[in-house]
Amino acid sequence: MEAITQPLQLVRSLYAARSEADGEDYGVTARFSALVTDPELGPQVPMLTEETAELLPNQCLVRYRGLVQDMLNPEYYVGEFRRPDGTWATAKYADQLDEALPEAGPNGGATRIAERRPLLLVPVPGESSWVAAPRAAAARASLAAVVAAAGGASGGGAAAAKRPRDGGEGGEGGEGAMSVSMMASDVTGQTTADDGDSAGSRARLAAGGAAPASGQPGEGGGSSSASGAGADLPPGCCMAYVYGEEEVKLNDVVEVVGVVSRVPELAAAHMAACGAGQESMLVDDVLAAHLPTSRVPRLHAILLRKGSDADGVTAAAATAAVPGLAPATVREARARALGFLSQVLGGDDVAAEYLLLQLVARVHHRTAEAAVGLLALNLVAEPKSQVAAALATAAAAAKAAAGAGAGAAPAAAAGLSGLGGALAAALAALAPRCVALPLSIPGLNASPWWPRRQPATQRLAGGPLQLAAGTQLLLDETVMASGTLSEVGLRNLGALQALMTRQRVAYDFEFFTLEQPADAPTTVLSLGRSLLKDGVAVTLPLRPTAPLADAEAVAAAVQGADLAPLRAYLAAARAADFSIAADMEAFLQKELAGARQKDREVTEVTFHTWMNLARLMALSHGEAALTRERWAAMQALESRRQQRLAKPA
Amino acid sequence: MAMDFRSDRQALEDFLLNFLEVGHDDAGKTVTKPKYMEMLQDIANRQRSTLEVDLDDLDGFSKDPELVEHLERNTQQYLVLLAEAADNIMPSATDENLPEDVFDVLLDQRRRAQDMTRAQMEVEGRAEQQDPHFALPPSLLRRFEVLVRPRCKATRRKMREISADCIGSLVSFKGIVTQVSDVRPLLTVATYLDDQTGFEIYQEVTGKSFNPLLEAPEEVKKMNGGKSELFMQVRGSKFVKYQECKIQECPDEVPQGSTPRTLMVHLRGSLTRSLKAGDSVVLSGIFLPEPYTGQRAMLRATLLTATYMEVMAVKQNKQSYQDMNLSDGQRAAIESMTEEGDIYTRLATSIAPEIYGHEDVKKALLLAMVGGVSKVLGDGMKLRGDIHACLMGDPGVAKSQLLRYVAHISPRAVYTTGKGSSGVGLTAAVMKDPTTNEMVLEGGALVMADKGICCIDEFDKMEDGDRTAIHEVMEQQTVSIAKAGITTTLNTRTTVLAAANPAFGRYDIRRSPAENINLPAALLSRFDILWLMLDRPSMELDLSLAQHVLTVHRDGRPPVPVGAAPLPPEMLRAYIAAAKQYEPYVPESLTDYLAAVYAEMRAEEAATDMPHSYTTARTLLSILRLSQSLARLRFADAVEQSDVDEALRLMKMSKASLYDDAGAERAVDPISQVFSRIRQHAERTKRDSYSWADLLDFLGTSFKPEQIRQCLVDYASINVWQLDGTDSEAPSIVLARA
Repeated sequence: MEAITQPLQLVRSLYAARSEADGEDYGVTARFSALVTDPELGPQVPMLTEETAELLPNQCLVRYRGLVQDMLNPEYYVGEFRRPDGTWATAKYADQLDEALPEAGPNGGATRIAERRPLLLVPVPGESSWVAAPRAAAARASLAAVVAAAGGASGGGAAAAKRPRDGGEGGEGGEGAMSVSMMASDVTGQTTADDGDSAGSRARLAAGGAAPASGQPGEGGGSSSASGAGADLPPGCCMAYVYGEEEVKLNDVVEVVGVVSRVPELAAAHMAACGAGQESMLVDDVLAAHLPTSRVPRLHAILLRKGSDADGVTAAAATAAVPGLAPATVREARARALGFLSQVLGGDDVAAEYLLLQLVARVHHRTAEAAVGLLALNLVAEPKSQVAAALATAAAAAKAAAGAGAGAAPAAAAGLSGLGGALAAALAALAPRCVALPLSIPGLNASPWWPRRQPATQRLAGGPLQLAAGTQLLLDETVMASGTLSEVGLRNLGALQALMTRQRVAYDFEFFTLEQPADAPTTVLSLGRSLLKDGVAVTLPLRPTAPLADAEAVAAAVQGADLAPLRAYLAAARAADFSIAADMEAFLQKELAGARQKDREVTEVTFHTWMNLARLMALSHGEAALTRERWAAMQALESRRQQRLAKPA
Repeated sequence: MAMDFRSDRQALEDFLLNFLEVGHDDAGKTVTKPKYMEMLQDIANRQRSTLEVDLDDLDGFSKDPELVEHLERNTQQYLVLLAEAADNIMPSATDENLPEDVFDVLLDQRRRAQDMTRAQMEVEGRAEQQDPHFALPPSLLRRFEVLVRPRCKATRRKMREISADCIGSLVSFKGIVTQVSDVRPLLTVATYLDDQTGFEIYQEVTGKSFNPLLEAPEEVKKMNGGKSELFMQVRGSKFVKYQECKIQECPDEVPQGSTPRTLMVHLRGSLTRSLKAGDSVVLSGIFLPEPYTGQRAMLRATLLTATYMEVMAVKQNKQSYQDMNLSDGQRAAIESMTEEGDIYTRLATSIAPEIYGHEDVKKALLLAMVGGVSKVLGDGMKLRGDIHACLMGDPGVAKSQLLRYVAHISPRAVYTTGKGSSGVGLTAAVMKDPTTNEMVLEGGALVMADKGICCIDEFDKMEDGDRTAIHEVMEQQTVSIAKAGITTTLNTRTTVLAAANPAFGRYDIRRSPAENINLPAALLSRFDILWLMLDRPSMELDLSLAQHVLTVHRDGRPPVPVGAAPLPPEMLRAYIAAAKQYEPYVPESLTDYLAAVYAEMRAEEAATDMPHSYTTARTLLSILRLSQSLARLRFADAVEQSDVDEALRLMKMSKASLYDDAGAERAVDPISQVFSRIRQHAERTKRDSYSWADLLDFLGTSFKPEQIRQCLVDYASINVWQLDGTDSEAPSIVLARA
C-alpha cells in the first residue's frame, strides 16, 4: 500500500540501492509491474478520471486510460542532482522536490539533465457506457481506499505531505517508510470492512477536508482566473510524461500507471502571463506545454501499456479467435445480433445484415490510396417514403430522443434524429466505441472537425475526427437543412470524405498537413442520397416493415438483454485474421471480370466493395477464409440491395 | 582546464593568422590568401561585422585533430576563445578616414576617464582595480560577432534526434519556420553611471534577463563615503538585434503516428531577419539550455530546463529543379540507366506504379514534368516551355491518383481542386492582415507553384473567377491583380496538370466531344495535350484489373509489376532534374517536316464533320514543346524527327480511347478514311496521280502503310482508280477522270 500512496519513496529507495549495472531503470519497472499485477494490491491502485482527479492525494500512484491526443516536444529536466553532502539523488517521476535544489557549489549543485516525452492523453472519445461504467465504478471504489489511506491515517494531509521531506534529508531513512507501512496495514483493514459506496462518500468528505490542508494554496484561486489556458481540452484529460523508450503513436489507446502530481505554481504562472502579454516565445511555449494542474493533471508514467482493440470485452473472449468460439455459439450470437439490429431498423433484415458487417469491420491492410477491410455504408431514408415520414413526425420528439441517446452514448450530442439516436444507441451497445455526429449546417460551419495544431497553444486541437482505432462513426445527415456551407463546413465534409474513402485524416500543422491513419467504419444516415456520396461505398434504402425504434426503446432493449456474448462475438470477429486461398482467387478473378463484362457500371470500385463485403461476410460467420458459399451470400445480399436501388418505393 | 583553454586560444590565434585559402584568380592561376586576416582587416576597416569561421578550414589547418571536435562539443566556450583570439591579433585599420561614430566618441571618453581614474589611484597609492564591473569589458569594444559554420562532413541530425546529449554542441538540422517574432534589442553590456562619482560601471549580460546593479563596487563607494546611486545609461550600453523563431520538423522526417516537433531558435545580430515563416531551412546552431530566471523562476520549481538553439548558420532549402544538386551516386545511376536503354518507358512506368496500365498517359505526364524550353523573343514576347496537360475521363479511371502522384514526387508542386479549398482560390487574393490591418496580397495555388507544377483536380468545377484568370496564367504565365488598391502582376510560371470529368459524368460516345467536354474552347486550346481516358471493355484488361484488386485484398499491397522495377521517386526526380539541364533547339531541317505535319492535321480536322480536337497554331507549339521534352529525356541538344513522331503519336493516342472503341457506332474503318482523304486531296489539288511516296507523305502520320495499301487495292478493284507501277509493295495510282 505504501507503494501506492508514496510511490516516490519507493523509487528513491530503489535509486539509493541501485548498483552500477542497473542503468536508467534500477528495478522500478519490475517492482511496479509486480505491484500492478498483484491480485490483491493491483486493483487498489486508484484510477485517475475526471471525477477522481480533484480528490486523489498529490503524488500517489494512479492508473489512467486514454487516447494519445498529442505528443509534445520532449522536455529536459533535472534528472539527478548532488546534495551538498556529495550523495546523488534522483528527481525522476516528480515535478517538485521536497528539498530545495542545491545551489551550485564546490560539493553540491551538480545536476544531470535527462529527457522525458510528454503525451497529452484524453478520455477515449465515444467510449460506450458498458465499457466505461465498470471502470468508473472501480475508480470510485479504489479512490475510497487511497484517500482514506492518505488522509485518514495520519489525521491530516499536511503531515503526510511533510513526511517525505524529513525522510529525504536523512538519506531515504527507513523510519519514515516503517511508519507508512504501519499506517497502511491499518487502513487496508478499514477499507475491506467498508462497502464501496459509503467508503466513496466518506473519502470524498475526507479529501475535501484534506486538500486545502495539504498545502495547495493558489490552486483553487488560480484555476478560475487562468481558465483561458487549456480551456479547449476535454475534461478528464491529463499530461503524461514518458521516461522510457516505449513506442507510442498518435491515437493509441494507452493505459498508464504513474505518479500524479499537482503543481499550483503553474496556475500562478499562467495567471501572471495573462497580464504580461507576449514576453518571449520560449516562455509562451513552456506555459503552453504546462497547463494548470487543476485542469490537466500531470502524470509521471512508470508503466505504459497499449490498450488492445478488444477493450472492454473480457480478456478470455478477446484472446480466443473466432474459430475458438464454437460454431454454434457464433451462429447463435450472429442471429441474435441480427435480430437486435433488425428490431432497431424496423424489421429491415437487409439493412441489419449490412449494419452487422459494419460492426465487424476494421482496417486489415492499407495501401497508398485506400484501406482494405472496411467500407462506408449509407442508409437512405427515401424521400416520401414511410421512413422519411416517420423521421418527420419524430422530428418534434427528436430533442427528447437525442437527450436519451446522449445518455446511452456519451458522445452523441444532442441534435440527432430519432432514428439516428436509436442507431447510435444500438451501435454503442454492441461496439466498444461509437461516435455519432449530426451533420447540420450550423454544426459543420461552427468549427473545424479535422485535427489541427493551433498556433496559439501549440497543441493539437483534436476535433471530432480524432478517433481511436475501431470507433464506429455514425453520421446523421437527416438533420441537414438547406443553408450555406462556409469554407470550414466544406473542409469538414472533405475531411469526412477522405476518412470514409481512405481511412486517413489529414492533420493540419499550419505549414503542411500530415495524414494519420484512421480505422473508423462509417455509417451515414441520410434522406435521399448522402451529400458524401463520393465517399460512400454501399448505399442502401431502408425498407422497414415495422415502426422504427427510437433511442429510448433501444436503451430499454439493451437494459433487458444480456449483450455480453454478442459483444464478445463481435470483438472476436473483428480481431480475426482473414485469407483468400489460391483456388478461390482464380474463381474470384473470373467472377469479377465476368461481372464487368456483363455490366460496364461494375468498376474497380465495385470490385473493392464486393471483396470487402465478402470478407466481412465470412468474418461475421466466424470464418477466417473466404468460401464460395459466402461469396454467393454476398452476391445475393448485393442483388437485394440493387433491387431496392432500382425501383424506389 | 584553464591551461587547456589558453593553449587552444593560442592555436586558434595561430589559425586565424596563418590560414591560407587556396583559390583561383581571374586568370585561373592558383593563388592563396590569408582568408581570416583579410576578414579581420575588413572588420578593422568597418566594412564587415561578422567573423565567419569555416570549421572545414580549421579541421584542415589544425594539427590537433581534437580541437575541432572540442569546438563542436563545447561551442559556446570556444566562440569566446575565437573572439578573444581575434581581439588579440586584430590589425589596425588601414583606412585612415574612418568616420567617427557615436560609439567611437563614447569609447574615447571612456578610455580617458579610465586613464584618469587610474592615474588618480596611483597617486593615492591604491592597487589596480580588480572588480570586473569596473573594467571595460572586451565585448563592449568588439565590433564583430563570431559565427562558425559546421564541417561539410558533420552529420545533419533529424530534429527528432536532437536530445539531451546534444546540449552545448553544434548541431545541424532541417525544418520549417512556423513563427517569427519581432526583432528586438537585447542588452549584452549594461553601462551604469554612478551619480556621485561619475564612474561608469559595466555589467555583462549573458542571458536574456539580468538583475540590474543597484550599487557601485566597494572601491567606488569608498571614494564617496559609501554612498552610491547607479543609473543605467541606455546610450552607453551595448545592444544586439535579437529574434526568436520557432522551427517545426519537416514532414518527411516525422515518423508515422507522431506529431511534428518544434524547436525554438534564437537569432542574433546579422542573422536576424534571415528567416521568414514558411521557409524550409537547414540550420546550424548551438543547442543550449536556458535556466529560468526572474519571473520564470517559479517554473524552476518544476525542475524543468527550457532549451533553445543559438543559430550559427542558415541555409535555405532550395526546392526547384534548377537548384537541385545531383550527388555523384545519382549521376552514376543515371548513367547506367541510360545505358540499359528504353529509359523513356521505364521512367513513365515509374510514375504511380500502383496504377495499372495507362502507359501512354504516364508518358504524357512525364513529358509535362520535364517540360519544353522557354524562350524570350527579341521583342520581349515570351514563349512558355511548360507543357499543360488535361486528363479528361470517366470517373474511376485513376485520374486523381495520377495527379496526386505527380504532385507528390515533384519538388515544387501544389495539389488543389478546382473548387479551391481556400478563400485565396487558385490565383491570388487580397486579404486584410489581422495584425497590421493592412491589405496584403496572398498567392493562391498557381502562384505558390511558380516554377513548379500545379495539379488541379476537378478542373471542370472551377469557379468562374478563377476560370477567367487561368487563361492568362496558362499562356502568359502571369496573374494580374487589381483589387483593393493593389495593382500588380505575379509570376505563375507553372505547369498546369488538370483532371476533369466529362459534362455528363461519363463520356457519352454518341455526343460530340464539344458537348462532352465541359470546357470552353479557348481554355482547351491552351492545353498542350488533352487526354481522354475512357473506360473501354476488354476481357483481358478486366481480368488483370480483377487480379489487381484481389492482390490488394489478399496481401494489402498492389502486385509487383513485371519487367524492370519502377524507379524510386528520388531517382525519377534526379533524372528529371538532369534532363532539365538541356535546352534542345529545333534544327532548320525539321521545319518543313513540321509544317507538313501541321497542314496535315488542319486538313484532317476540316475533313471530319465532328472534330475531336481543335487544331490551332497553339497545337504546333505544343508539338514542339513535347518534342523538346522528349529530346531532353534523351539528353540531346537538338530535336530529331523521331521526337516529333513520338509527340504526334502521343497526341494521337490521347484521343485513342475514342476511336478504337469496339461497340462504338461512330468508329469509321481506316480504309474508308484513307479513301475519303485521298479524294478530298485530289479535289482540292486537281491532281490525278499519286506516287506511293506522295501517299505516305500525307497519310503516313495517321495511317499504317498496310491500311493505305489495302485501300488502294480495294478501291482499284471497283475501278475507282488504277494501280500503276509494278511494285505491289509500293503501288502508285492513277485516278479515273471524273
